[in-house]
Amino acid sequence: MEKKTILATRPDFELTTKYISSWASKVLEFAREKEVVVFDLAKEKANRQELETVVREQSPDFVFLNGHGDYDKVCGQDNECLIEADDNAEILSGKIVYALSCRSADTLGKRAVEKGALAYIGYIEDFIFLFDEKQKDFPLQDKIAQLFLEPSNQVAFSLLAGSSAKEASENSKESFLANVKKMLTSEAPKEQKGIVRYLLWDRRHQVCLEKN
Amino acid sequence: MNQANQEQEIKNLVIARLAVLPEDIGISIGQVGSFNKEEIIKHVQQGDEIGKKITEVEMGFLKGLKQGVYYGKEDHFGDSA
Repeated sequence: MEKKTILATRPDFELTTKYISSWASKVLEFAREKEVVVFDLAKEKANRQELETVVREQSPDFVFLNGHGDYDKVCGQDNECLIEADDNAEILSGKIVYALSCRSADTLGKRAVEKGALAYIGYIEDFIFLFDEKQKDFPLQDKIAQLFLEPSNQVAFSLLAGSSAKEASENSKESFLANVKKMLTSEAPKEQKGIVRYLLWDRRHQVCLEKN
Repeated sequence: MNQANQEQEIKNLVIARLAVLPEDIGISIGQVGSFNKEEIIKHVQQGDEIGKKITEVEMGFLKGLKQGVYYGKEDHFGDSA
């Protein structure tokens, strides 16, 4: 049986990209455990040329994009535009995509699905996360950021475990909700309860786009 | 209440809610950047784009509560958080 393949872009040049790319490494660890072939475009490798080459030559099943974005694009290292709705959205044809990136599901996601992507899971608004200032040099030890980035990773974990795109998004939303409930119990410190509204914001704006 | 007063009331409400977040909290808002609590409160006071985004998050949550969001009921979260 042919092995599944995942391509991840993991830029890392300031706090936000450092956090999301650090947490994305957990997905790649899981993928390797599952014997999924991993193409990891980290830091400087998260550029358009590398991305297009890997997509063309390896045709990964699953594309996991981490980076800044906007309604019509997702970026890589130093904010180089990797995929843009009116430019190269067709490279996602035949793939399942999860973009941990602000807003890109709005226009790029729709265009990618029009151009043949099997599914595009992403956010139609800014992905906001909170973090612990004391832990910002150690993103994987940050328990506050974990509340946001674990539910986000759930999309990828679910896809790698064989869920459909729709199920993967639902699992992620469930995971956000589980953290909301955790924050609202009496065990959570009172001052952390305010984190709930940001978890709900991300949950609300995550969408799974598929061809009808 | 005129519009300016109403806007100030909303700002005050949002700032009061931000003030109770943990002291060491930071907020990452995508490409816009990451901010500490003090900086975020300042942006809300100034009413700039970052402040407006935070206000949108906070007021969206409050509107959800007003509409009777029940924690744990999936559909309600989807529509009104």
